[in-house]
Formats: sequence, C-alpha cells, structure tokens
Amino acid sequence: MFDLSEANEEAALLARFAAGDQAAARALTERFLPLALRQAWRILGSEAEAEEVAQEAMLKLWRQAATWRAGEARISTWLYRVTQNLCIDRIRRRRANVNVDDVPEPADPRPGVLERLGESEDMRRLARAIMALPDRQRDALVLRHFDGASNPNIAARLECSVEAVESLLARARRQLQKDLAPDRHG
Amino acid sequence: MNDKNTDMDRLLDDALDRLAAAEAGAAPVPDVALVARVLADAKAVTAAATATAARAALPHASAMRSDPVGRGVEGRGAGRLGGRGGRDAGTGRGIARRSGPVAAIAARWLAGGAGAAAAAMVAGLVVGFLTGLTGPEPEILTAAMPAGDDVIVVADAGLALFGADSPF
Repeated sequence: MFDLSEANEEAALLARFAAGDQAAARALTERFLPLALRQAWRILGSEAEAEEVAQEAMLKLWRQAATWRAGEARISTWLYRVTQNLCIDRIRRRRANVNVDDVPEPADPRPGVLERLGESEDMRRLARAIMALPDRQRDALVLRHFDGASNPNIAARLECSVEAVESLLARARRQLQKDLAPDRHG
Repeated sequence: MNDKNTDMDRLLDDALDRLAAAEAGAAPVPDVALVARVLADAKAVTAAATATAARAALPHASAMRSDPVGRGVEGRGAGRLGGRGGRDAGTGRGIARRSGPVAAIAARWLAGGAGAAAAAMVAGLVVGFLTGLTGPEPEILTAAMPAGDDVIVVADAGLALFGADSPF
C-alpha cells in the first residue's frame, strides 16, 4: 500500500532527530515544511498565518519524535492531520474574535484560495463548486488532484478505506459535473 | 451516454489540472527565515529533552524538582497527540474519532467482556447516533468496517437490531 522504504527512511530520520541529530531535523524540515505550509495556506488563505501554522505543526513533530511509533503512521499523514487541526483551531478563533455586527456581509461566504486563482469565470465556478463540496469529498478531491496523492495515501490521511476514497472521489466528480453543467450557468 | 460521460470526465480532468497548476504556481514555499525558525524550534526541543534526561539521571530528590520548561513540553505535547494513543487503543480509527465517548463506551463494554447482546445494543446506538444526528456520508460506515474486527461484528449486530438490511 505504502512505499515502505520511504516510510522507513522518514521514521529513521525522526529517530535520528530524537537522538539529537540536527542534520536529521534539517532533512525533515526540507521534506515536510513545504507540505504543511501549502496545506495551511490552502485552508487559511493567508501566507502569514500559514507560516505560523506550519511552524507550529513542525514543532509538534519535534515534540513527538521521542515517542514516535514507527510503522503506525507515515509522518506526512500525521502532519496532515495536525496541520488540518491547527487550521481549524485558527478558523474557530477568527470567528470567536470577530464581532459579526461590525462586519459587512461578505459577497461570497466561502471565498477560497482556489477561487482567487481562477483566471476565468469558468475556473472560478469550478473553484466555487469545489469549495461547496462536502468536506470529505473536497479533501479527497484536493489531495488527489492538487497534491497528487495516491488513493491509499488519501485513505490514510482521511482515516478511511481505499474503497471509501474511491467513492468520495466518484461522488465529488459527479457533483462537480452536475454543478458545472451548461444548464446550470447563470 | 458513456461517450458523454467520458467527455465530461475529460473536461473536468482538464479543468482540475489547470486549477491545480495555478495553485501550484501561487502556493508559498518556505523562506529562509521560516526554515530558521523551525530549525531553532527543533534545537530547543532537543535541548529540553537533553535536560529532562539529565534530570532523570539525578538522585531521586533532585529529580523531583519541577522544571517549567520540561513540564511545558510534556504538557503541550500531551494535548491533541495524547488522543492518538486512545484512538489506537480503541475499536476502530474512523468510528472512535467521529463518535468519541459513545464509541469509547462501546469499546469498554467489548473489552470488559460484556454480553454480546448488550455490546450489540451499544454499538447499535453508536450507528444510530451517527446516522441520526450527524447524518454521515456512507464512507464513514464503510471506512469503519475494515478498520477492526470488533467494529465489523458490532456494526453488523447493531444494524440487525434495527432490522436494517443496509445502512444506506
């Protein structure tokens, strides 16, 4: 299912870091910090906040190193969940800190990074349709098409079976096709 | 119909590829300052671990003294990460994560040797609770099935109690 040699190599790096090897920390940083940063940016839409979250996620990895149980989860999988949770915490805090009476009603309640990237109306519609998908369908689709993750890898990250991932992807695609069908223009 | 679907699939794939390419071009990459901060954190954690190990090697009376740095590391790390052990020790990853205390009760019943009918009832409540209150998508249940033997047995029994042929 997984590339075991890669997973073992990652676990070995983490074990070396736990033993005090700072070169291992650098190797792990090079490998995983970009992933965490991109994931956080995608969710939060702010580069500055994404940097803070990515740093915090890596800090959790350093703290986890000594008790890491090799073979149970891949670091990328673990880091994905940690980053996701940190982003959710941030979003909750944002909501808690905002006085809704002081803020004008946004034109689109779910503007996302993807939508801002759309260079044409069609692409913006696609982005909006992706953002409107149920969370797990959207996560699966983004991991598959934007991160290039394999189905087993997505299954590990979303804590479900490969069959469930296939089902999520199929339903996400059906929904997108429905949302983007010509007769839905307007 | 099939041709139409294939065309739609191709169009969708093409659009997704283009959006993904745009995202990849715009996504931030870690700058030198961020990398330096992350590595500094790594160094600090190593230093704290070394200090903790040194303290543990001291005679008992000295080792009992508290160290705010060490305690801080353990305390913060124990939060969300502490949940991993609980989940791993539970019945199944997906179920335990989503249903929390209810699944934990079911797990305790099972682990404690409760009667099969009682365990099935608890599990039935879990399934009913999930489908009734949170309205999960089907993958939540399918995800749980291969996760652990206990869950397979319990979920089936729970459904049987409700007289359901299929959870969907």
